Amino acid sequence: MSTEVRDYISISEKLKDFGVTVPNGLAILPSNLATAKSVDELRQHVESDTVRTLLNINKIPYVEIFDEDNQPSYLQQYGFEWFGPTLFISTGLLSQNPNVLSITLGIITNYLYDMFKEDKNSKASLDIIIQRPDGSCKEVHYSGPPDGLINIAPIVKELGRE
Amino acid sequence: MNDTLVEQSGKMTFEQVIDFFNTGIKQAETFLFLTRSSQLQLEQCLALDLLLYNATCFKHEEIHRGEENNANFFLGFECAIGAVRSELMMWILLKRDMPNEAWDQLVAAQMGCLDASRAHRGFAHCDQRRGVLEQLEDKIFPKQVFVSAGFVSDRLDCSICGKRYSQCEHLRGKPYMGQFCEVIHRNPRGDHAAFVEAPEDKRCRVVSFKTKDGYQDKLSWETTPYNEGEFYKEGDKFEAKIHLLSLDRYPYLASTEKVLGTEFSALKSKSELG
Repeated sequence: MSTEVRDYISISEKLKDFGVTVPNGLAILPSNLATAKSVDELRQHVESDTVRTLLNINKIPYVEIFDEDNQPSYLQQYGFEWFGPTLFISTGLLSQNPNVLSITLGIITNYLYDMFKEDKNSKASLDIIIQRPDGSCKEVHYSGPPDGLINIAPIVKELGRE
Repeated sequence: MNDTLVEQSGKMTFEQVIDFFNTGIKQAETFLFLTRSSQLQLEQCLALDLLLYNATCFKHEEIHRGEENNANFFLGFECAIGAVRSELMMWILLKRDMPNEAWDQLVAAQMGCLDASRAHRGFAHCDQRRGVLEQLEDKIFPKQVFVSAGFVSDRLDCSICGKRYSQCEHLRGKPYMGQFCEVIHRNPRGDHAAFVEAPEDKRCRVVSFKTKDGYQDKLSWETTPYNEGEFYKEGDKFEAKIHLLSLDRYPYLASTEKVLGTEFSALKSKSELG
């Protein structure tokens, strides 16, 4: 299991470069936003849509940064691993709704339990980017057993307080 | 006979129907050993073909009635029956010196067990059987090198309702009215291939690799001589034959005759002679 915290590019500047409105709230970002040189190069993991459905079913509001017909291409990787999306959250949303991230991760964990049951080889990975009030961003990358996903919520919260 | 069973179900309680399927599976499980006669194992496979057909008939009845929980329950039976049948065929194929085909049946059995436990909570115990199958994999087969193919697509649609996967209420891998939700990729293009420790599909693996005498099979260790024009150069790049992608997501649903192919006729005639 590994949880890594690293600096991330300014989401607002990068999205502005691509002519995309900066999200205000919980959002699902392309997985290669930092390295993509154009909108055409953007990719999102297939499971981004699974998370969209989970959020819809559980009535958790989120922001779409691309409209339905202009979604980035979907990347499918086949492993006994769940390749989760890149979630974006701002400190503003975390202060208004401190539990939104832990609830979201809990819902994803429950879904993954149904998919993998208790298989010891199962793995999940997911990125969370938090944008702080000064516009700087941090990325938390998780890779490990699905039931460990929930443990990254307090790390993200703490990064928001720094 | 099959129609009769579904018709008779009107006179049977739900518990009696469940007993009928459980008895058929239990009987076949008695033959899940290397030492059992191949002919008897084949007979069990054929009995499971029929049992699976009956499970599908019951499932369709429940779908017709709009009983989603029951439809998913019979989906679980389809997966569990298919898993036992695949395991039986694994033993038959191993005894016929066909390790690659046996490997595919082992993987099919593992997939069937996982799907059964996903289909309905009544099949949670199938997860334990999958654990046993993983132990068998470690003990019977040499360690394999797995491959994962990656690709990109423009759009994802839902196999249940046909809408965009992001816009519907269905979740990939979950059962709905006797069917698993799958993602349909629109305009898929290859992106990459990678070696992985834990693949989603263990049929995707290195099958054989080049040696000075020919391609050496990863399971049998037999060497197949090169065709004309093929050659091996010492110190050259590593070259191997790989199975990159399997399009059949439910291999455990294939009939005994389809899986065993020509071996089926040979075994069946031997059984009839006996």
